[in-house]
Amino acid sequence: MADTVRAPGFTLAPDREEELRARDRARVEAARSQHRPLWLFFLLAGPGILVMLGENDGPSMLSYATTGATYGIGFFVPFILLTFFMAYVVQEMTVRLGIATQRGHAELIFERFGSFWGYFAMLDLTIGNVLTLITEFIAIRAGAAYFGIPAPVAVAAGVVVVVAAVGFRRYFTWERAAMALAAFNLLFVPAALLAHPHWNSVADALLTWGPLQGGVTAGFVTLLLANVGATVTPWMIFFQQSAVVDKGMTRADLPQGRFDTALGAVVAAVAAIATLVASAPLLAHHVNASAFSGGADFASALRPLIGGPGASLFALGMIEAGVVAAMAISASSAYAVGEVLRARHSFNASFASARPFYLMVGLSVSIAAAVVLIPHAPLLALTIAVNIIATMLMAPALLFLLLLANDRAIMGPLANGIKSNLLGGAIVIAIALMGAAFGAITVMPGLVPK
Amino acid sequence: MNGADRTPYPQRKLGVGLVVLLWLLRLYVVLAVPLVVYAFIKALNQM
Repeated sequence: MADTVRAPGFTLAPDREEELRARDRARVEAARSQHRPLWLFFLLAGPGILVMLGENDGPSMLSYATTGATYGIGFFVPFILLTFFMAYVVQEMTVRLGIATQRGHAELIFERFGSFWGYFAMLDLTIGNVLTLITEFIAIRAGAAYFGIPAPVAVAAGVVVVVAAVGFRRYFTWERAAMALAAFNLLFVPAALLAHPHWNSVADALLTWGPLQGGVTAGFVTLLLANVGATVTPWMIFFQQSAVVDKGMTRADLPQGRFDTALGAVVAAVAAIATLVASAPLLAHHVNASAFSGGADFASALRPLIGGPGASLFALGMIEAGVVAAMAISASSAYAVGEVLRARHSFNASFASARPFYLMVGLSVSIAAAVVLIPHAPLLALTIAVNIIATMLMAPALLFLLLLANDRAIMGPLANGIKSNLLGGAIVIAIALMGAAFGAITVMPGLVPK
Repeated sequence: MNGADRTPYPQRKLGVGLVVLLWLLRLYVVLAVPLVVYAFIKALNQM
């Protein structure tokens, strides 16, 4: 449609990738010069909303559901708001890094810290992405199981959606397809409403946040870590920075980039809290969620409590969470591989010119899909474990993010200020401490009650 | 310009504080990797 709009005096760049990006930029500049702020934001929105809703993925929604079923809404509703604020602080830095350097996160670490730390960051990302992608297909399989769809069909359909979105070879199309699917993350909101929550309790939880009654237990720490891992993970840093570059965002787009990220955080927090609220009736009816094996079990257990439509929305939301995250996570792996190999890495590039990039998307989702079809895997335990692992892997990723965001030689005036450093430093310390707490409980299980 | 054709930034000169920080990071990794592996295997064996 608007692909053909060009700014006055605009000439086409010599190859497909640059030509398509230049066309997108021409539309952005036209919107800016015509003073159309909403249209401008519509064109520039994407990386922030996608990264936040992408992180409301299969394991995250299962973590929120398990939390709601285990602890209700009291402690964790404000805690989830806090974790999304953390996510905004972290992701805003990636927007500035992408805009200032026009480079992805992986290539920046390689260039500024050398190949040792470059490969280290890649390993950090790869372990997290492989495990998380597997759990996305677990979510797709589990959600589809509620509707009686066989696992191979559900998983194959998930792979087809991810690969088909890439097939357009157009960043803007890929981004809009992912955003359209991500809107279904809000299916958890009507599911929560069908649970008829006591709004006074929700307001009370927000206004009188305090320590959880019953004290700190191993299960509480596990879910605390899982909830942090459900909001901030290494792939988000790599994905958003690369997407900002692929979209061609410039210094003038920073306010929209920030608003895109903030809006994504707010919408994702609403969906996350809705999941918690939708699952809270399981606690009231003393249903043991730890025995569940996946999203389908949650939906089935919720059916008599919130009704068939509510349970169906819950299961559909699980499928959406898995599909959108599979698109974003496979993209983050593909960007990183392209950056490290110094090969083309853009959704605007042709297949022939960006083989490693496109191959990585197809390969990563295919491997994850195949693993999920292995019979008798402990799906819920695996998904919670993946969020904990994400928290453990996050501390190094955050440290490099902070170092790069403070690197004035590459960031110039967009380098971190005191406020960003204080908040970022506090987040690194908090996440490292949570990792240490998990380590201590793992090594000394008797440290806290079960 | 596409990402593949850009001239790389030069490697950063690391001060003493940064070198210490990166060594602490190595220590964190040495401690965290076995825990991550343990957590994953424990999750796999829960059924």
